[in-house]
Amino acid sequence: MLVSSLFSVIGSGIAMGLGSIGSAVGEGMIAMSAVDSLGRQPKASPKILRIMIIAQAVTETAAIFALVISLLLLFQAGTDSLFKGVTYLSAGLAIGLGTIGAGLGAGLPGAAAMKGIGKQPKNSDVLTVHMIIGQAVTQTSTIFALTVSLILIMLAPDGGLLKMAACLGAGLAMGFGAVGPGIGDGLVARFANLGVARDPRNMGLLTRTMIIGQAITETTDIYAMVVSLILIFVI
Amino acid sequence: MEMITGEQLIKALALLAAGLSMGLGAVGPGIGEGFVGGKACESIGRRPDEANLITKTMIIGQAISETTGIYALVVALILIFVV
Amino acid sequence: MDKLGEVSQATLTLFGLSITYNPITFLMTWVVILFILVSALAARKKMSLVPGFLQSIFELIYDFLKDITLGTLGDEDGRKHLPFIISLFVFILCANWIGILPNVFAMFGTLLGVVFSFFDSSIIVTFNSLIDISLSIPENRWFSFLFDLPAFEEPTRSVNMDLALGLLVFAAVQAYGVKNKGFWGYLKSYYNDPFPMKGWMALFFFLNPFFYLNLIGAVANVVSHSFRLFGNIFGGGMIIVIVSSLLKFFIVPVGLFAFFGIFAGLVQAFVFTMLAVTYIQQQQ
Repeated sequence: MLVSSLFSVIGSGIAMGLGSIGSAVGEGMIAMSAVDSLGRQPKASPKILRIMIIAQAVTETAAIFALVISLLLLFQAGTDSLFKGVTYLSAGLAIGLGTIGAGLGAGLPGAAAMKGIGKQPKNSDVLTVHMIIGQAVTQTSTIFALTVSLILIMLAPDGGLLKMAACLGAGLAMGFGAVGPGIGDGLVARFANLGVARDPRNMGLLTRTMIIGQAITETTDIYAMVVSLILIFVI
Repeated sequence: MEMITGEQLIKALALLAAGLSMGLGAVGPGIGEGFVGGKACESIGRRPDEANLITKTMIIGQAISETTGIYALVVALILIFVV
Repeated sequence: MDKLGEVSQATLTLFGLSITYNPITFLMTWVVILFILVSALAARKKMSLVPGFLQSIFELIYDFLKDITLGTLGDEDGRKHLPFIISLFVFILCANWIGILPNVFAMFGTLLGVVFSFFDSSIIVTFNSLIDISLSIPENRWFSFLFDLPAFEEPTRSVNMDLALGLLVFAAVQAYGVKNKGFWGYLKSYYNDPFPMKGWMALFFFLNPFFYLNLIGAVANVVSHSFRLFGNIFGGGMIIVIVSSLLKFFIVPVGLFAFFGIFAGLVQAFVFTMLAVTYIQQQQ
């Protein structure tokens, strides 16, 4: 059936198109700070370059998740049930919108770390560890979006109008719900990284506060996931 | 395809609305709580001695920022189970 | 994949009430409790000045949590709450980490089946690939019960367990609040400063909007506290199941296990415990 395959192709496009926004902007911020730091400390250029690539690789994770879902959806293009078509579209929406926040969010601590290395290159090891912890926790919102969209792809192909609306609602809830917490997590990690850059001796205290702050910031994301799981499994 | 009654349509739209309510409702609190947490980290970076006070204030501030997120959750659950 | 959203259920009839519960969660909780008990007793038996392996792990956890708890709650109150905090942390950590164990019973059964197939022609072994082995075992073999045993699953993956833990912390915090501030002082903490209720005005507490906001805040704390643990562990477990089935179990996703099982499990156990400490501190 044409309509249902059309839905999965559109879903694939939405997943990759929206999914690349966040990571692209985030990586741009990291590169911007790195170039700024290079201007200040030309001698530390190999170090700055190395850490910039690590930071960008972690920021890329969100876009890679979107790519995985996008490819999975392209392979499903031959489906002939309208219900599956709607779930594929919904899966694309979930991961596409859900990566915007985490991509942007992972860029913020990366940029802060690059700025810190530009001020004092000798702190680079401590800053890199702290940056990676912050970025890894920031990815949580994308991982929830990935979970929901994989569940939507795997869903059994039967259901009426109610179930269709519920699946579309689940995708929208998870997709939009992951935007805010992703950016918020990034903000927490950014200021924590700036604090570590100012005085690396406070790292233990700052990592602790950062993880608690990020965990609380993710609460609304978890509400969104609970609502979408209810919409998928209970309705 | 069988006929769709008005009641079914309302229920379907309510489910869609539940998704939108929770999704869009989670954006603001997420960013707001991020600001609170970020500024708390910045203050601890400046004054590590006051870490306990700052953490306590951060958690209270974030809990209050989250209130609208909880309202969105409640509205979504009402839309799913009551409407 | 059809069993993705299903939860195993059993019904228990007690005094005429039928109670539905999840037997896997129940069993896994006891496994975690027994594990903690045995390892703690083993560590206590060989206490020495130069710590052994088990003792040093427990000392590491103790020192880490003691610093934070005493630093946050003060010396006296911190010491009072330390056993509760450490039990919470150790239990949640073990509960989150039990999911990374593979299904050792089925692996052991498969191994036994391969060995016995040399002597017993009724056992048929098919090698689909190097690690994908399928067995057909007649029902009456003594080791066939190994395949009926459940795989390891985090008890914290069930929302009931998390809500119970959240309510436990809530009850402890409120009891401490009543004890610390007195009953009236505890009730007064629900009024906020902008509209202080004094004297006979206190009877009209229900007109104060901040009373309701604080009440919602108290309930929402429990919900967010327990759902945070549930969402992270459930999401991680779900994604491991889905990705393993997409890869047809040929490659065990080691990186995913490391991230969700170990890192996220540790972070969530720490966050849950730290928030419990902070909620207790708010009642001081």
